[in-house]
Amino acid sequence: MAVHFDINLIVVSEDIFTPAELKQVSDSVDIMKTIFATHGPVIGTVNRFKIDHRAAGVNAIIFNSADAMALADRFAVRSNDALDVFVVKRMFDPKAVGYSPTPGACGKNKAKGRLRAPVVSLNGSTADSGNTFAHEVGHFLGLPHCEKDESLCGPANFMRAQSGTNTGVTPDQAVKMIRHCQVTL
Amino acid sequence: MTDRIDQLLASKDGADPSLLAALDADDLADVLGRSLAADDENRVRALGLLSLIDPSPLGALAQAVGQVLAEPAPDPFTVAAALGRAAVMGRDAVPLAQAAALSDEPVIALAAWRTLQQVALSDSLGALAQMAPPAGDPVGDQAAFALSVIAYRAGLSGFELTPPDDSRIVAIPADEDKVFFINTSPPTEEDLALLSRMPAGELYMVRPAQEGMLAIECGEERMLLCIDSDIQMDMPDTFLQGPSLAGVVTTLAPLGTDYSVRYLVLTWPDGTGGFHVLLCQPDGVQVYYGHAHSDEIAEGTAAFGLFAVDRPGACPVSLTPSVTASGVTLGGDCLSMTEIVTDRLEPEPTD
Ligand SMILES: [Zn+2]
Repeated sequence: MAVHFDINLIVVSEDIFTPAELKQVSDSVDIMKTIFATHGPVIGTVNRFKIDHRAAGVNAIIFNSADAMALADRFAVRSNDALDVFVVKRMFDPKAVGYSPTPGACGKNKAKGRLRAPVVSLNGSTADSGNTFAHEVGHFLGLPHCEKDESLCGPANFMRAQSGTNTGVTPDQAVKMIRHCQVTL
Repeated sequence: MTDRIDQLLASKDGADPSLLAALDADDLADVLGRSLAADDENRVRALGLLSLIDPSPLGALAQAVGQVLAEPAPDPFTVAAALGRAAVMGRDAVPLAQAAALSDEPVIALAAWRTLQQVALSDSLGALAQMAPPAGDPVGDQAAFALSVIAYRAGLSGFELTPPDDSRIVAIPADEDKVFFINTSPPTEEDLALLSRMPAGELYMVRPAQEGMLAIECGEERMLLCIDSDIQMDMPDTFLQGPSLAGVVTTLAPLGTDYSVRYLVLTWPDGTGGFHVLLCQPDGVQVYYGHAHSDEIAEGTAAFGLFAVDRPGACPVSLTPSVTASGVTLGGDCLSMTEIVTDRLEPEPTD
């Protein structure tokens, strides 16, 4: 297998997603996979999980980064070591459609006192949310915004602060990401 | 569509403050139009941007929230977003949220109760208590917690939380070596600047006393302990007189762009000359608990142990807060474990 990392895609309150929204989730995953496939690390297995609305309760509603922390602190896939990525229908933070630590830590039981895993939303078009999925996972794997280090980036890069629907990625970003503990060589 | 709004909509996890500062009437018209358009795929975010640009009770946010709530078959998450953002209007959001709290849609009712929890005052408490659904499901539990927070904000008895019993307290085992230090310091200018940008509703109407405010570094999380200035001036005696929403603990977003409320600091008398301190998440989950017994309160100072409450993802700490009219300091071991001691909940595999 090529240099890769696996993902646990956890859809929060999946039972109240419409068919169109579930399709947006799958299409966003495909966009994310295409971005990472350009230079690696590639996305290996995508394991799908769900949390029903009754179990998620108010944790399905993300007003701010503290709510994202509460969600990722309460739920985790313990049956494997793949990267947990939480998907919520909408985020209500005017400034954010996703959150992730930069870089994220490996190990499901670590308590490092910060957001544990990427939390992303379907805000915007499918092209927008496809970028959001990849952008937050990029942060987790150690990538800063291009504005912090232009030497890593090129045009229409997926890690711009205003990355919108961008899908560009560079070999230098790939080199940085494959050093992350979540990546299997 | 304006360039600046397009740029804000393209932002993923932080908004450029210079963009926000430059927004003009054309930008406001753009974002209001998007907020009113039922089919705009950025509608939820546009509502959020309106709350930053024009949160006044008779302004554009109020107009958009009013329209969303009046639509015949709105998307529940859009209504929830509107209610959530309405919290920045302060107590003017109460009538809107009160009506929406009766919704059959759990997402709408949850958002409404959370907004009420943020901004409602004692004058609404009776009516809200009448209409609250029974605890036992997510909406009922959130409503019960909201009633407590509103009562604590008002200093009213009758809605006290149940303190966790000893079996729910998790402590760091003796000789445990998987620990790290929790550090404190005064807040920086940047901390205070970020805090000052938070609307009162997002701070649960707490008015932080700048003197005595504490920045807390717990691993890689940066937090601010913000005690309400009215409460701080008579601490710890305030805590013996009745329930209080003493303050909030805010947490810094991953990219350092904003603070948001991580814990509510709730206190109430124990009836025997001491008081309880409970730090709860906004969803009502109890995270840290302390009990200052009467013999731990003397000469204007209360010092007591603060412990983690068991829950999925619980992580023990060892802290001894000391409370005076000058604020709070953290003493004792100031340690946290590096690993959780209770498993998180496992999501279900999708078929
Ligand atoms: Zn980012």
